[in-house]
Amino acid sequence: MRKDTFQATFLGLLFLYLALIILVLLFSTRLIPDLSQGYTTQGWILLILAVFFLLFLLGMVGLNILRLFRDRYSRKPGVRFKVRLVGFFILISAVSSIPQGFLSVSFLNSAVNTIFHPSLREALEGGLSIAITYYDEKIEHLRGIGRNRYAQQILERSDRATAQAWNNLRNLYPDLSAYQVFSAKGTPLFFAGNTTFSMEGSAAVSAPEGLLPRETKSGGITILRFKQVIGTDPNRPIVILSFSLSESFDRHAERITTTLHTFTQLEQHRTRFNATVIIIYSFFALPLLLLSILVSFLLSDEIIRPIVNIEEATRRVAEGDFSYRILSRSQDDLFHLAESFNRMVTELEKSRQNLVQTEKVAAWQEIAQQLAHEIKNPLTPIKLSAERLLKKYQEDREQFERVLQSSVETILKETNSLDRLLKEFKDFSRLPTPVLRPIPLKQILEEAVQGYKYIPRIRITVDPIPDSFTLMADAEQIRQMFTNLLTNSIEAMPEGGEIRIRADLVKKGNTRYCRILVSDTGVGIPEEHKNLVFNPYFTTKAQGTGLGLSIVERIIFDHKGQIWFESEPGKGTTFFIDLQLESGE
Amino acid sequence: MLWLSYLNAVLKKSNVLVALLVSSSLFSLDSTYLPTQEPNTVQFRATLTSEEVARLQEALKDGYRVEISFILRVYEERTTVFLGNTLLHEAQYTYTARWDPIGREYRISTSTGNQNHLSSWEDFQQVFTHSPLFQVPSPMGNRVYTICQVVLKPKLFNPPLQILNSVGQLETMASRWVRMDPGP
Repeated sequence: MRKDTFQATFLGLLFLYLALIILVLLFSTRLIPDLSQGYTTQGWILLILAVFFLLFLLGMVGLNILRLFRDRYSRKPGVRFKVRLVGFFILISAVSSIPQGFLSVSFLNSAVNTIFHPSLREALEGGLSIAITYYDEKIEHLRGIGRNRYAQQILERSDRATAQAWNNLRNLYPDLSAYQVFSAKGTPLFFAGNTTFSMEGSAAVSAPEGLLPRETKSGGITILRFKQVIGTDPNRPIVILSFSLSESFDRHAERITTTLHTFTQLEQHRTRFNATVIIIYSFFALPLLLLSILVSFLLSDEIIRPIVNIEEATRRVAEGDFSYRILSRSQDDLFHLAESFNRMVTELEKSRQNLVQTEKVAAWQEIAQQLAHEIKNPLTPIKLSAERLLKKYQEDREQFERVLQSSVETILKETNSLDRLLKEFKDFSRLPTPVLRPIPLKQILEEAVQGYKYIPRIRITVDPIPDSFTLMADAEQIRQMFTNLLTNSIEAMPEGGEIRIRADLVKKGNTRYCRILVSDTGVGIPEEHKNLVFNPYFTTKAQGTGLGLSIVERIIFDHKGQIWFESEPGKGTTFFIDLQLESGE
Repeated sequence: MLWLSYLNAVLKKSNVLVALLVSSSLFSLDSTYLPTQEPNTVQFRATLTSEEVARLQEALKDGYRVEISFILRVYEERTTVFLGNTLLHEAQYTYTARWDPIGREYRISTSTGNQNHLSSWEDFQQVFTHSPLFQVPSPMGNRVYTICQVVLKPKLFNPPLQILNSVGQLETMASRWVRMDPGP
């Protein structure tokens, strides 16, 4: 399942990577030319796509970082290692991409500097100057027609000898392309030359006399015209002389002018231009960095997975779960480590079972010795009383009756004590396996405390218990546990005092526990007795059997909980009990 | 689709989109209708302040191109509240002007492909700020009206400087939509 997720994520990232490559290709081939030439529609779409892509990747990286923080806050296994790995990956990505970024930006600047070199500007300015000179000469040449007497004489005869005039004019102006004569109303009277240069009659009539504005025909031909009205008659004819500039003069001149102006504009907006190029470049370069960060998250997950498994297994074993094993494939990197760990846990479990068995035997031996000792103690007064009775009966009948009562009382008292001892031993040794059911802690505690509420000089305070504290436990045994603890505390306070009970939520790994504190203000436990408190038949009280706290420990052990205590002689004792909550699994 | 045409009409009428995109320079120009001799024609002009004129002249001398668009829309009023008025006709003419240092003249290229060569600044201003004659559908009914707008781009970059436009360096000035009801 986890492998499938890894593969799906990897494929997703691969798809993003390919999409990014396509975007970068489009960027280099289309976006820059589109934006710089003003074909903005496709350029805008690409730019919006790049920004969207960048935002999407930023979101993904942000999400992963948040997840990392969450894992770190909840102290998830392996998270610190993952943070380090991701950090290293980001460092490696940055180490390679930052110089690349600088290189690219520097290259762009160098390219712009190379293209817009001052020498090119000088060349363009020179070209423009030549064009202007050429144009001015041409204009001056045309204006000269009005001042040229010979030309004027030819033009004066334009209404009569037009063909002759054309030939004469061609001899005088070899670059003359067309010669047109119109009536005063614009009716064409004569045309000679290239038809491309012909002018409409109406335009000829409306145009002012002298040099006319230049005209550029489709195909790049630029025409300069000169208009002259012949004679003084109201119906005087109109002569139009058309000259051509060099081929594509206008187009070339415009290119020179535009490029020169581009230089000027670039000088005015150099900083903005460079910044814009860098911004647009970053729209495509940043996603690459973000994508590598995303890959680092994916890879770090994959790398730490076996380590997390081992850490989890170690934790479970440390908590006493010897059934936990690590599943690992033979091709995994840490397969041998996992196998060794599993073998170690198996051996550990066997050793533990042996130890438990040995401890069990030793415990029973100790109990048998303690029991024999406890049984022997009342047997002595019984035996002595019986012997005394027999002796008095045989030797002194008068005293027999007097001794009878006290001896029988002693025998009865000691046999009662023996009976109680055996009953508690029976209870301890036959403590049944707990039947686990969800039980509300608050309720069970209230039931347990109920019976001790009215004991003189003893005050029991129970701090508010949350209703959500539900134990998976055997209700009878838990009730008995509280009864024993309360009895123990009350017996530790012969002069009276206070018992305080509270419950808190604690977490161990992912498991939720309820920590119950039972504190008293009693005599406390001396240092030398602290290791013996939970031993069966250990007691410092005259009437105690020494099994109360042993039973408590046994119940908690059967519920997979923990018990310990803190005590200060003269001030009191606090017992701490950790029991798993129902939803803690 | 009805809702699309409605949205289109509302956006065109209310300038919502323009206001969102170019709010800073919105309505910094004035446009005025001009009387025409020919029937069913409309002409209007942009009024520029002396500062705007000076900026325009300086931009042209620095080699920038300058663009002005004249937009005309013809609507028919509807009596319903929500559907908006019907757009009957829309036309736009654009002039792009530049200074020609060789001929020492201003050149105006129109969106229809014509070119004007103007040697004096006054002549240039006269042509550049006046729209051509717009033909409107004939006859104009009682509920038909026109609105016009002028959009000026006082500094157009040459390639490759046009890339600056992609990060908002393009300055645009626009006039309000001015309404003209049909004459008597």
